[in-house]
Amino acid sequence: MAFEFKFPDVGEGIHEGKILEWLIQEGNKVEEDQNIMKVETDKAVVDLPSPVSGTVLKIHASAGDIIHVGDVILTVGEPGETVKESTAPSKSPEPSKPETRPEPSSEKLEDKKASSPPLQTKPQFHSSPSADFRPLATPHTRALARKLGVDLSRIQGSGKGGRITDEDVEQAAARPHLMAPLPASTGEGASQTRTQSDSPRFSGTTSSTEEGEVERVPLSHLRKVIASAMTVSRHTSAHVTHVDEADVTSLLEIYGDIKARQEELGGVRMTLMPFFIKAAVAALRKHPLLNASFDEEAGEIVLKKYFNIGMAVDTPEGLIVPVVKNAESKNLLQLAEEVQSLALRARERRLSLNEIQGGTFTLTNIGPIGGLFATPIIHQPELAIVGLHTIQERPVVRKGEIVIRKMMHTSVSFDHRIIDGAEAARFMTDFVSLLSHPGMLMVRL
Amino acid sequence: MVVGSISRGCQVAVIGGGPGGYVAAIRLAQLKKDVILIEQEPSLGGICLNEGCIPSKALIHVADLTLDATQAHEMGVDIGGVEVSMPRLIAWKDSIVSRLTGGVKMLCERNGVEIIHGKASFASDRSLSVETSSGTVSIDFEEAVIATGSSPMPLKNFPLDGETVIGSKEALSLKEVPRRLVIIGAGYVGLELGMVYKKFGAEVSVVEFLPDLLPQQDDDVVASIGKRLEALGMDLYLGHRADRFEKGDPSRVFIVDPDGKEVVLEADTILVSIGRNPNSKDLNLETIGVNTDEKGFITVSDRMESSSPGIYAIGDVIGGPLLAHKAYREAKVAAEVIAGEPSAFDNVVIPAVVYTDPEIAWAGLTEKEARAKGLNIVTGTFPFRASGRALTLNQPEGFVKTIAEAETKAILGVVIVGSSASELVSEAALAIEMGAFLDDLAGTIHPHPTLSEGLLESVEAALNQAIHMVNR
Amino acid sequence: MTAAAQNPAAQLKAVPSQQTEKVTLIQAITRALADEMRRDPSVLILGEDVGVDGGVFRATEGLLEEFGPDRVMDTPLAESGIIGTSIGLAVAGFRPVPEIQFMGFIYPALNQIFAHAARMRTRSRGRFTVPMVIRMPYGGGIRPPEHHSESYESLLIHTPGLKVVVPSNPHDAKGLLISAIRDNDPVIFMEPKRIYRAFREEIPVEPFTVPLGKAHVLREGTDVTLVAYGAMVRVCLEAAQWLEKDGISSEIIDLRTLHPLDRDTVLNSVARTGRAVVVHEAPKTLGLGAEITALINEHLLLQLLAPVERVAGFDSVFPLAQLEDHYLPHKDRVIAAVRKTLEF
Repeated sequence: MAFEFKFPDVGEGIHEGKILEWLIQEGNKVEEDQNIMKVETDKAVVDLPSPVSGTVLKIHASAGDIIHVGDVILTVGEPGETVKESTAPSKSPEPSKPETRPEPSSEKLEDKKASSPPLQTKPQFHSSPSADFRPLATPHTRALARKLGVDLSRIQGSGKGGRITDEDVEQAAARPHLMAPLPASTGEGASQTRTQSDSPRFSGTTSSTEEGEVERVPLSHLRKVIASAMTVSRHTSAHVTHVDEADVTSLLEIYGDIKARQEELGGVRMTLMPFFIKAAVAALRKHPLLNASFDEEAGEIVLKKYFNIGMAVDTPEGLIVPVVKNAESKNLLQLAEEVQSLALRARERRLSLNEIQGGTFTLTNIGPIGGLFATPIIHQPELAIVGLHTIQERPVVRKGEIVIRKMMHTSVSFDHRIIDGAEAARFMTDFVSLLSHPGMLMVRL
Repeated sequence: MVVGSISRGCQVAVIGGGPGGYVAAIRLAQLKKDVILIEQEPSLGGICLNEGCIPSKALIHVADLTLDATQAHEMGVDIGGVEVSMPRLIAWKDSIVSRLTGGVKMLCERNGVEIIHGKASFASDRSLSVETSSGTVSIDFEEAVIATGSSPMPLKNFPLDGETVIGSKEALSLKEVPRRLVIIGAGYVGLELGMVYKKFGAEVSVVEFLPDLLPQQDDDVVASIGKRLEALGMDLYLGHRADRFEKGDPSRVFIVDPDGKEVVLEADTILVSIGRNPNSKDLNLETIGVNTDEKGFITVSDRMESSSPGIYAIGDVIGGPLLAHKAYREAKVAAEVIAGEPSAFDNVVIPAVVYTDPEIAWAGLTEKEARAKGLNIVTGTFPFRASGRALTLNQPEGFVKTIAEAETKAILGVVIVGSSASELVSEAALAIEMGAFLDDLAGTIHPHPTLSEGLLESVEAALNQAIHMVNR
Repeated sequence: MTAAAQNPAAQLKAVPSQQTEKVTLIQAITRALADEMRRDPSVLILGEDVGVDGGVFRATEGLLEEFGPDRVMDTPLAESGIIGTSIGLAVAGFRPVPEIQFMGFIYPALNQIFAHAARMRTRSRGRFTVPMVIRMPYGGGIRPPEHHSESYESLLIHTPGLKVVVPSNPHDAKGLLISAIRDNDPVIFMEPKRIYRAFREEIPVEPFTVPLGKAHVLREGTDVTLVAYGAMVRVCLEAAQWLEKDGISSEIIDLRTLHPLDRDTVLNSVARTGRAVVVHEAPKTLGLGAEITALINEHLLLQLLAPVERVAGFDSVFPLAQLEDHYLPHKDRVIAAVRKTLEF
């Protein structure tokens, strides 16, 4: 039977490549492991070897084409065998889910070993490794596959009826370019420091290079986790950012009034964040697509009926996103209290795992630091993130006259795989409208 | 304790000492984990050992004995009269149960598992509060396994009082055989216990809300059971809803037929067994972020992980087929995952057995399920009346049916109806789990004369080359 | 109480056939007491609730049943009497192991300890000694009323003539207690009650000793030395694991005996790492941390890369339950102290 060679995964997070040149032609004989093509990915140029011996029956893509992991690019077999014309629909690899949770400050003594990707929220009861009505491998072989980190669904079984043998699994494990992506390791705990100083302290080693002096700083675990999460998010979602502005003059008046009566709040420090959260919840109710996630495997959009709003907190070690759960059922004061508590504990690195998981939507308040607007990166597995920027007094036109109003830019980055620009724009319009007309926000509290 | 509260610490806390719990505890101890097992009843073993699988099988065996005794005449054996003493039967059954529960306790202790008797609930995602007879004990753990099982579903208007209206627990410890027994719910429990008490001499009626018996089973299976129920003289009311009852001597049970007409049944005892609910309510799961579905079953991944890291759940409390042997496997998976091994529940086959007369056992897909999936299948059915062994056992009822993929001949499922079906199905389970093809099984010599040859013959029938029956 | 503890006599008498058994710290103490009482008929136990009740923490469970009321004595509520009587018994040839129910109850007994037990050997020019072990649960973390969380080892360390011993795990608990009972001079045996049942360890069934006056290097490291005892050892272990992830290698010393201090082990370690953090629950002023800091100053000034840090309880009366977690050193404070030494 003819062997269909699907473009395999060649490295971390790569899911497509460009064929630079073919090293063989249709009709050539090839040996197993003989290099057959050069592919360019955004990491490097890679030579791909043939996994089988035989005659090249059909080349399905040309030099210069962009191919995706899983696309059938070559068919090898015996001369005269029939070849399926259409290439198999390219199955994009399951994006390794980003691990953005640094290890919580729990009382555990033992280290948690790297565990599999975060749990899916839909109850997936007992999915079997391959076909769900007939196993492609014996229990022994399945256990071997798990041990070697091989995904059975990506192996061609050489046994009868497509059955996968131990040898198939071992070969796949030995050849990294054929191996399925391993589960992403969780952030194995980050530095637990509470340094008092503000300036960045790097305990790196300095050395000289040809260009000049450099300092090599080993990555803390939190940084490694953030690095991976940001990369994966960018590769997973189709990021588009839509920017708008809100006239927060009225909101600030209300806020100022509250601040003047601070002592009546029982020690809770009120900020603008609770208002932003409530406006977000109200806007999300009208645009539920932005409060959802995308279950690629099932091909379903998971609309969340609850609103767990994450807030990005800048700590000396890096970015952490604690989550305010069920923001819809808390009043502004309760939100203020929770926001205060979470932020403090985030900086002290004392958040529990529960407090940084389960978010459905994220707000990032960059304003206090400065800047006009930005293009935030979506916090997987959510589908949208809103950035709140600096409040500035600016001249704007109202009723034909120039007036000075306190304006704030807002940006929403959204996943265009699921949310179209128009929908995101409508969401943002509603969000901005609620902030600009706080009375309309109040009626929705 | 006089003052203060000292926590007990451990690596893994297992909540529930039933088939899921004690197996997880022992396996974890084998994998060198420090384990505390918490059980709220005075004895281990859960429903299975104490008021489910084991006691019911004991009673079923004795019921079959009494039936065999009365039918031995045709084989040339005459036994005078057959009398069943319920008190002595229950005492015998209890002796088996206590032997087994004592055995489980011994196994736990030998493996270094510490057992605490009390009711546990989560105080945080790393600690439990356990109410024991000598006060509250606080337990800190690194990981926890929830194996709290399930409880009988209540039926409106039929509150259990333990005398007139009983559940399966009481049904396994009755002091005397009821004269008239009405069973609500024709599931496994209802059918098994119904046949038991019929054989002990009761008048038995079974009321079932759904229009079909065993709706997920193939028609030939349902037909065998239906025939037997009729032969035994049990009255079956399918499609009837149990509305209410009036206590009395006898009590009267009011059921409503599919057209809305009321039917009255007389009963001395009413057994309610309409299903089971997960025991997930009093654990404080919401506060620790463990998600459940709308029925209360805890949702888990295939590594038994709940939505809260470090908290696992297994057995009836996570739903799926409510079977002890599923819990056994899940317990081992959870233990291995906690110990850092790359384990997961990837079993394709969870065999199931209904201990009616004749027994029904199946592994893999039924014919109905295979066709519903759009698979192209072949089947082969071998009737036990063509089996020498079955005839020598005077048990000619039933059959073995094998379902296979038409193209590859991979075995997809096996259904067995007949005596000892429960013992025969494991071979089928192994075959399917190993991905066997029809010729693998056909090429294996099965000893003669046995009932297991029935499996061989049904496989050959699927290949159209059965010897001991006419191939269709 | 645990099911296992509900049948203590059976547990004590039936010697398990394996060579090791898995026990908690409190169970290890019971083992040590039973082993020594079997081996040496002069070993006695006295204290409040130790006999019939088996001890409020069940430390002496089953001992009255096995050894009888002549060797396991329930005393009246009078610490001065308990210790005074024990001193008399010790001088007369017995080896009493009295229990002070909580270290916070020790004040009435201090007169007997300071005035007599500590100086009997000197007073009699070696003719009479007091081979007594005073057992006392100490330390916070169990949410009790006042007087139940104290750590006043400083008073006892400061008194010449006493040895002060603190185990941090079941193995050392058994070994140190047996050594203490066999010692011919008064030993104060402090038991960190917060971790009485916190974890189990496999320890030998047979009696064994852990030498007094010898610290234990629990973990080797190169960047900083953490010195601790009792419940604080596990706090340091947690801190060390966190620090490890940032590449900081900590050496942990479990002192085991507070007096006489194993100076060599501590000094050798700090000489290599150049940094030290001492962790104890007792109030900071004049706690053992102060003594160790002075010691290090005297011998290692030029090898020090930073001043010695002390993570200790605050200089206040031990607070009630709600503030316990703030008072007691926890891993974050230890980590902060380590970082301070690294950033000096």
